[in-house]
Amino acid sequence: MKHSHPKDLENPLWPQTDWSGLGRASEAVGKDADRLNHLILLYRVPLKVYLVSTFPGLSNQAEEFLQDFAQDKILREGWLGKADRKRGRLRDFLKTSLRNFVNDRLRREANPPASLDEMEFDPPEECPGVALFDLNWARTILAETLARMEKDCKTPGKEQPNRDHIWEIFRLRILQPILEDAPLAPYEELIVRLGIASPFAAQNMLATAKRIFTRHLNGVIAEYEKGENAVKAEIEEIKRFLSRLSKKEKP
Amino acid sequence: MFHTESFMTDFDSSEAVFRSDARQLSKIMDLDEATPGAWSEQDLPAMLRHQLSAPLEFDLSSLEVKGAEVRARDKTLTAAAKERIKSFGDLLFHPEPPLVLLKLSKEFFKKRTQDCKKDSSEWKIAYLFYLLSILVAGTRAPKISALTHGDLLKGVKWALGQKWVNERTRALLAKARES
Repeated sequence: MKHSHPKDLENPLWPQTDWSGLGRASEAVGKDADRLNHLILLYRVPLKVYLVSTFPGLSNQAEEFLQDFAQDKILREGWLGKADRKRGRLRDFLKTSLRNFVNDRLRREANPPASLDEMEFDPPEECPGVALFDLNWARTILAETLARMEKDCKTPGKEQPNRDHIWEIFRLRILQPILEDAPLAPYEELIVRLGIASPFAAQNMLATAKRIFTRHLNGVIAEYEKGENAVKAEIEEIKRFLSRLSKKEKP
Repeated sequence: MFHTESFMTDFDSSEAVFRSDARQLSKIMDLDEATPGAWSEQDLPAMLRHQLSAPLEFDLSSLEVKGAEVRARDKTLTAAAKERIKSFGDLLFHPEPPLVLLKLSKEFFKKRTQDCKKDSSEWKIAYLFYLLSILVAGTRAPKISALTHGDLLKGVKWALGQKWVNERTRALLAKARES
């Protein structure tokens, strides 16, 4: 299931969820326009991806629906307060809310299609719209993780002046071969280019790269899942989802 | 041959991620599963050359030793450098390699075999150099290792069965087997 880059939709990334920000925004309804505007902007693009995939017939009206959703829900006093992390994941809260919002709106229109009744229940995970939403969620997590990792590696410390080499070896030996089916950069080229002293220095660099990646992955998820166990559970859930989806994608 | 393009590319990880499918993303999410070893079988000949040319000081300085042992190790490395024994190749192909250095080398690679996944490329290099460090000690081998003659012969047989081991190293192994 390959899709065009969401840059087509003006923003390459899903936003990270900031629960404390949500709480503040919730309290700020009617008081702090800047914060709410920021929140709406953050969530507009991912919501649009979901809306268009779940309701393809509304693609021309997606912006309008999202603006109304922001106005009627996000900007409505008390609504954001419902996004309680104890009650489930924020992404589930948002997609369910948007879906219900659109269904309600369509139902109110004259002569609603009969199939709308079938949308009353939560669509199963296999639904294309839900799968696309979760796939884009995973992409967002990974894109953000890699962006932070690259920035981290390209900010050399006094003790690690060649820290950017960690990113390079990770990019050339892991990322590009996996994400772009690029050939593995030959060992000899790498060690010459990056001035690596021994095979074990090279091995250590890759091991360090994997550790940095894992640290940032945990960090990105920790921004919307509280606690080590919740972060682990979310990572496992994303892995399971991707694994299931990749089995379906096999020719 | 240099594939300069791969080094020069303007790689945008975000773009690449959003172009990727679930199978590719799954591999990135599960890196240890997708890339259990750092290097592949094809890398072994280059890794062997690299290890032979690697500075002794770099690898052996990473050995965890304490207090007086640190000073002794540094002194040994300094003395070896004066004798132009600077790399593992210099040490292993030296007509009279210093026993104390061979012992350090053996310890280093023994630790590496314990840290690496068995039969990975890294493990194979570490095991070969562990064996060589003992073998080139010749009759002095019992002073640095408890391996029996039979154990060493098994190791030599394994090493000679590895296609990536170059001729020069094969000759060294064969010579050690005969002595």
